[in-house]
Amino acid sequence: MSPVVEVHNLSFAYGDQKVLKGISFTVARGEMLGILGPNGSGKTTLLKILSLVLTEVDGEVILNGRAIQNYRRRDLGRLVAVVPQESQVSFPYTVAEIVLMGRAGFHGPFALEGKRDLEVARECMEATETLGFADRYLHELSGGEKQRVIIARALAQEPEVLLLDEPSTFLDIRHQIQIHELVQRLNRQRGLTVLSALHDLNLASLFFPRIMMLRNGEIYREGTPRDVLTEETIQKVYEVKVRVQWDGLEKRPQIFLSSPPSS
Amino acid sequence: MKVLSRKKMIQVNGGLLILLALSVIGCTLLGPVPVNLSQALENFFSADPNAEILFRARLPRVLLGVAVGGGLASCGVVLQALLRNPLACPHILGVSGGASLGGILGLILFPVGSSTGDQLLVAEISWVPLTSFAGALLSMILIYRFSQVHGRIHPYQLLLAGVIFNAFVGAIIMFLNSIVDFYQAQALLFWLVGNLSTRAYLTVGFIWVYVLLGLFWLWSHCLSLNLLTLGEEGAMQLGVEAGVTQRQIFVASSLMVGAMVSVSGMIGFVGLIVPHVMRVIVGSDHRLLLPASFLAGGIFLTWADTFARTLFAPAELPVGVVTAFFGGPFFFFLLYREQRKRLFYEPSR
Repeated sequence: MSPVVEVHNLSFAYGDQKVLKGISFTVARGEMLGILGPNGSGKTTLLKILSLVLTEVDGEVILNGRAIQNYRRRDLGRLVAVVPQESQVSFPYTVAEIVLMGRAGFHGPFALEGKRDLEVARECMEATETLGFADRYLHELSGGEKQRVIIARALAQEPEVLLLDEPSTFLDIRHQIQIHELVQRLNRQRGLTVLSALHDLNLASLFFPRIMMLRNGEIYREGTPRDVLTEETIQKVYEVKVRVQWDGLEKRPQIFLSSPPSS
Repeated sequence: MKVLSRKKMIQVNGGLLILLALSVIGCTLLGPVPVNLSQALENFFSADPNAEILFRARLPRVLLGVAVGGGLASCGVVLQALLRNPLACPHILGVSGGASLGGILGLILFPVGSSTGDQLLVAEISWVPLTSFAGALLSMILIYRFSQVHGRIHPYQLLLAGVIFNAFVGAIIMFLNSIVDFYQAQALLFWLVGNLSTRAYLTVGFIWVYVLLGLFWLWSHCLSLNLLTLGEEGAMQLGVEAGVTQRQIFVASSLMVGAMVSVSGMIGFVGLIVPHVMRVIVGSDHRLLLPASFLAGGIFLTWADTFARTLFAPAELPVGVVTAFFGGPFFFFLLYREQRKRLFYEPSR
């Protein structure tokens, strides 16, 4: 079966500032890929290109065998859904209304949501355990609940690929794990392909079988957490000294910060 | 889970439509001069004073009020969403500033008649709508060019361009106001505060065409507007062509604002207050909020104008004074009541 995401020699620049410099990779259907790298290494830019927010690119992006620029935005929304770091809502919308926004690409501009839209939304809220507060306003919820609602909205798009941009950056450690367990469950149960940009190396190691480390717009290293998350690589990419130990039955690497003694 | 249903759409819009119809009838019958309705109906086509007052003086004015009030409120709704700003109102698009400058130039440059009253009336019928509409279109093109970033209208850029353009135009208007003679200055002021007056059915029809075209154009973007309140990128990722939507909403509301300002000047508060009130009552889904605000805006301005022309009859208040007088305190009341449930939610970042 052809890979769901194929990227060939992709480059992107904001003005003269090159953000991505000819990267290539493929993601198979049902895979879970963690994208790591320091601030400014191109993680978010890559996700924006894959969701057609940034369009003026060099190189090829092929989704499901079709070049991304040949997709209508509306159709792409049924293939690729995005969960941002944090969602801004300017006006009071209920959770149900927010989740139903994921169905916007499925009906006409004057139409209301049909029976099927409501069924899908309900099911997605059940899967993310958000149905209980369907009628509350989004801004009344805690960060973790909010992020689950946004994941429910993404699921309501019935996508094949889920892009997450540091989905748990603003959450406490319990909710970070909760969100990633949810994403992992969706990946296993629904065969959803997941590409997630992360800052937390330990979370990446625990939840992502495959990791891609970006550095200055290039892929520095790629492979299993054990291949990528080494002391040398982390020191090279992030310019910090760390200690890596292998933890648990599956021997996932975990990173310990070694702070300099006097500063 | 509660979602927007056809039933709710019909109930809310139907209810408001009935209220609007009753308001149109009621406000046409209300006035400083008592009229005999049956006589007016009997002598519909002849020169009966009752028919004159009802059908050729009051009714067109009431119908104009409905179009302008509804148009202002619907522009307010979409602009608040598009700019993601609760203080946005139709007049924040520099377009209305451009329209007033055009209108005022029309008032000054083409004075007809000698007495101020006649002069105002005649000039309004002949030149003011034309020159102010031209002003609206010109400023629309200008602001459009300034508010674009990478082919998309940038909300803050648009807000800034509009505010600065309005301030600049305001200075020119003040300048003109101080160099013209006393009577003209008086007329300008009356026009600037915003007022409705009796118009030929032709003018009223012209405004209705613009307002309805604009309304349906905006309506076709309501679903996208819901998504755009989440931010442009989020909307794009959900399938909205953000650039196209923003451009069309800007053009549609500019045309509406231009047409409305050309006949009624700058009537404030309707476009600001009505959307907020309706959002509290019917929710934030624009597919319901937009038509409901149109109807509610029509009702509000019709009654405000009825107060304006009857309260101190035969003297007449500018309707902008009445809308501000009722709208301001009511807005504070809403803020007070909704302190816990805020009207607008700042992005936390």
